[in-house]
Amino acid sequence: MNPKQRFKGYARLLSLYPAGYRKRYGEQLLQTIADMVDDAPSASEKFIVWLRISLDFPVTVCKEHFQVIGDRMNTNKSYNAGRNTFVSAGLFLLPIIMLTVNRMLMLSGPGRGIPTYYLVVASSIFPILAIVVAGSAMYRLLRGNKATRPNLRQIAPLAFVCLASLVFLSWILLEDIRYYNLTH
Amino acid sequence: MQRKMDLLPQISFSILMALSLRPRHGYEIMKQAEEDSLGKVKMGPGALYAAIKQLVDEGLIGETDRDNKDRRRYYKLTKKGWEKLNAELEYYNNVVKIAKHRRAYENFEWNGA
Repeated sequence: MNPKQRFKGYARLLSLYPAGYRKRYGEQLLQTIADMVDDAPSASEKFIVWLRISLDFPVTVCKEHFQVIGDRMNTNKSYNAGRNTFVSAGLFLLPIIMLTVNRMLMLSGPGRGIPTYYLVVASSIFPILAIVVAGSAMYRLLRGNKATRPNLRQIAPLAFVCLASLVFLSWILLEDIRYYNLTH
Repeated sequence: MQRKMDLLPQISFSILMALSLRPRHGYEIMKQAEEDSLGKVKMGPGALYAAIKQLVDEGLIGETDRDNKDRRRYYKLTKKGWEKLNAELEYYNNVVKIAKHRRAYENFEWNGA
């Protein structure tokens, strides 16, 4: 009788392992269990063997699933970088759009729009967030996958967003200094 | 610059040690690992094959040619596996040397006080 027929219950439980692991090592696992059980001379020893197997099973099932999730996250790096580029670019563009709309409102008539200085100060948080998002994505691309070379096509737009956000932040700082000099 | 060495986990090291004598199948590896560690390394079949999978993926061990009559699959060390095992043994050997030297030095200090 082959181990699959002998340990039908355990063979069914194998379906809890990730498919890749199960297909590759399922039969070998059953064979090893058969060897372990056959090698145990007494009923008490057989009980200890089954205890060992039942303690090992849930731990390794969880570990293998975490491994699969980890592998998937590593292979989906390009998608994450793409999303981070989009988010950081959005964070960078948002205050510029806000300032442009506000300027148009102010030009359309007196008393409309928010005073530019307050809007500039309030919007300084967005380029900072853009730098954090783009910087972390760049860090992951450069450090994450050591086996392959960093993908410049993914890094270049992130670097551009970082640089543009820095320029924008510098401009905000200069506006601050200019306003301070005007009022004091 | 010296390359950083990543030490193998205990189970993986025990598997390489077990395979250094001859190719073995799963249960033989488990028994040999337990024997080599004086009963300290006890692994279940799930943990064993998880470690085997990692070692195969890293190219440190490989399957031998299969005998159709035997359902078991035998594993052996690859060239890379031998190199890794030797590097690990050398590392542990150095650690033991340092520990012995340190202990001797400390004893000397203590005796001299």
